[in-house]
Amino acid sequence: MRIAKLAAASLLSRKSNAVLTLMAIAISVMLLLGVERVSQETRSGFANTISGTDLIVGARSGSVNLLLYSVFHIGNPTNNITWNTYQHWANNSQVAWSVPIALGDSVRGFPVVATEPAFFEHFRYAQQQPLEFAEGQAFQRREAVIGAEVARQLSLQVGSNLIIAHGTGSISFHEHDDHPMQIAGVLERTGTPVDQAIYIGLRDLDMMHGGTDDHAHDEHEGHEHTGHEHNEDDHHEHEHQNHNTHQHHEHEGSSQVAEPPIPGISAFFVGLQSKPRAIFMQREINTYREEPLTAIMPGSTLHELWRTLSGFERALSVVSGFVLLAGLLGMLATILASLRERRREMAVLRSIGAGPGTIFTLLVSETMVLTLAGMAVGVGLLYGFIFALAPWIQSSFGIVVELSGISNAEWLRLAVVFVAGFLISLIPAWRAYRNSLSDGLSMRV
Amino acid sequence: MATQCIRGLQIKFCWPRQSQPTIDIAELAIESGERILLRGPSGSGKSTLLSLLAGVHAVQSGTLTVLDKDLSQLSQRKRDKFRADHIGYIFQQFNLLPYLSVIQNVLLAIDFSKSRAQRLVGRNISARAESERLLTRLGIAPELWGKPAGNLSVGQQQRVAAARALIGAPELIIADEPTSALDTDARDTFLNLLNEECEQQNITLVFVTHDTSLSHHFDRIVELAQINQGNSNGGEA
Repeated sequence: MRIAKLAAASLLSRKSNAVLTLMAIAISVMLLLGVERVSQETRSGFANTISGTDLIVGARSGSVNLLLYSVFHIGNPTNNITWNTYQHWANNSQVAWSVPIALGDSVRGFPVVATEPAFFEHFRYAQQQPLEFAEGQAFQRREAVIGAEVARQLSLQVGSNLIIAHGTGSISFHEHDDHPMQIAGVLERTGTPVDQAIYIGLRDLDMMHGGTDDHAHDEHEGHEHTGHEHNEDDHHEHEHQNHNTHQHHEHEGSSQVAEPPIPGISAFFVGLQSKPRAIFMQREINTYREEPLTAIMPGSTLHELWRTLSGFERALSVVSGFVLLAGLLGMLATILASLRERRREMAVLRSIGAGPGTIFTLLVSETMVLTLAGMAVGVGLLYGFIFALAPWIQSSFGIVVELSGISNAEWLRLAVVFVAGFLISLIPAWRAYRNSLSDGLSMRV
Repeated sequence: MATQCIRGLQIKFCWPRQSQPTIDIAELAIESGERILLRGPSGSGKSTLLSLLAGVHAVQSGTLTVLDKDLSQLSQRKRDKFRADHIGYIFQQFNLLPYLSVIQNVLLAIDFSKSRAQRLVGRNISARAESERLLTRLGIAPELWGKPAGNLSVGQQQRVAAARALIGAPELIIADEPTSALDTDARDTFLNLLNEECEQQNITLVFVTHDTSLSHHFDRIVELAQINQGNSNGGEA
C-alpha cells in the first residue's frame, strides 16, 4: 500500500503530465464504451420499434427501404399502392387485420402518418406493448394524434391546432393551412419512432392534397372491417386549388364501386390469422400480378438492417480501439520519458532499502493508477455525455439511450483496457528495474 | 553488538565490460562505533566500495562481512532488506524525494524497514516523535516539516537526509561526500550534529570525502589509494 501511495505522490508531482495522460486514456475509454453503448441501445431500440405485425406491404422496393420508411419514417416510398390492391389483400381470408398508412407530409420536421384509427388498436412495439393514450383518444375527421416527443417539442396538447405542411423537410414552402387539424390525443412515450410522428386520417390527407369531400362519406361504411369510422358528415365542400400533389390523384382502375378514402397508400401493416403462414403469404404478395408489391416480415428485415449497420459499428469499435492504443502509447511515452529524470529518485529509494523489485512494482503501480483513474474519468465522461446528449439523440435518431448501469459487454471492454494498461506498464517497470540494477546507488543524470 | 562492524578480506569487484577490477582490497577492518574518514581522489573506486558495503552490489571474490553478516552469502533481496534495516545512507546531494514533505521523507526509512520501526517501539517512541526530535536536533524548524522537501536549501536537505539515515538507529551510516555541496559553516555544523548523534546512539560512521581539512572530526582516516590495488581510474567516478 505504501508503494501505491508513493506512486500517487510521485504522479501528483508531475501533475500536468499525469492529467494529460489520464485525459487521453479517459477519452479513449469513453469512446470505447460509448460506441458499445450506442450500438447496444440502437440494437434494442431497433428490435423494439415494432412487434405483433406479421407483414408490412409496400410498393416493389428493397425490403430495408420499405422497413425504413414504413416504421422509422426515414426515406420515401418508391411508389404508392392503389386502394384497390390494398382492399384485395385486406379482404384475404388469411388476414386478421390490416392498417394502411400514407406518408409524405410533415409538421416542422415531424413526419405525418395518415392511417386509420385501427392503427392504435393493432400497432405493437417492444414486447407486444400496445400504444396508450396519455391524453385524449384516437382521431376522427379533422383531428390528429401526436407522439410524446412531438407534444413535448412543439408544446402541443389536446385541443391545439396543427397546420400540416406538404413534403417532409423541416422547412416547408407549402402549408396546408386551409385545412387545420385539431389534436385529439397524445400518445404515451414509447421510445420508438412513434414518439416522433403525427397521425391523421387518410381522408384528411387526401383532402389536403385536393381530394374531394362530396360523396366520400356514404361509402365509408363499406370499410368498417378496417376500423374506418368517418361517419360524421359535417364537412362542407372543401376545394383545393389545383396543387400539384402526389400521384394518388390518378384514380387508376376504379372498378370498385366504393369511393376510397384516399386513392393510394404508401404501405400497410398486416396481422395474420396464423403467424406461421407469414412466409407463404409473403411469397403470395410478392408474386401478385396486378401490381408489383413487396412484403416483408419486420423481424427478419430488422435483422438484415442490423447486419448492415453492424459493419459500421465494428468499424467504429476498431477505430476506438486504436484511439485507446494511442492513449496507452502516449502514457508509455510519458512514463518512459519521466524515468530519465527520475534516476536520482530511484537511487534514493534504493539507498533506503528498496530493491529492484520494489522499483518495478512502483512503476507498475504508477501506470496502473493512471490507467484506473483514466478509466474512472472515462466512465464519468460517458455518463456525463449520455446525460447531456440523450434528449438530442432521441429527437434526432429516435434512439433512447438510458442512464443504465455498466453492461457486461462494457465491463469486458473495461477489462481489456485494464489488461492493456497492465501490459503497457511492464515496459517502463522493466526499464526502471534494469536501470536500478546497473545504477545501484550512483546518481547518473 | 559485534566489535567489528566491517571486515573485508581479499575483496574484489569488477564492473561488467571492464578487464581490471575496480576494487581489490586485501583487508579492510572498521570497528563498531568508530567514525572513519574514507579518503580518496575521484576515480579511486570510492562509490564502488560504498555500494559493496551497502550491499547494492556483491563482491565477486573474497568475503565482506558487515555486522557479522557475510554479504556475499546473501541474495540481492536479503541485501536490500539488510540495508534498509541496518544502514543509513547519505548522498552527496539530492537525497530527498522532492514531492514528499520533509517529515514524510524522514519517515520513508521507517516505511521500508520493520526492524527500524521495531527499535523505536522498543524505546517507546513513535516514529513521528522520533523524526521530529531528529529534525529539531539537526536544526530544521517545525514550520518546514510539512513543506515539500524540494523547497528546502541544499544545506537543509542534507540535514533532513541525515535525520532519515539516523532514524530507527541503524548500526552503520555511510555518507558519500555529504558536505561537498555545503559552505564551510554549514559543513562544520552538519558534521558536528552528525557526529553527536552517532556517538549518542553508538552508530558506526563511514564518511567519504576527498577534503583533508575535515580529518579532525574523525577517529581514523583510511586512505583508499593505499589499500585498494584495483584499477583506480576504472568504473565509478
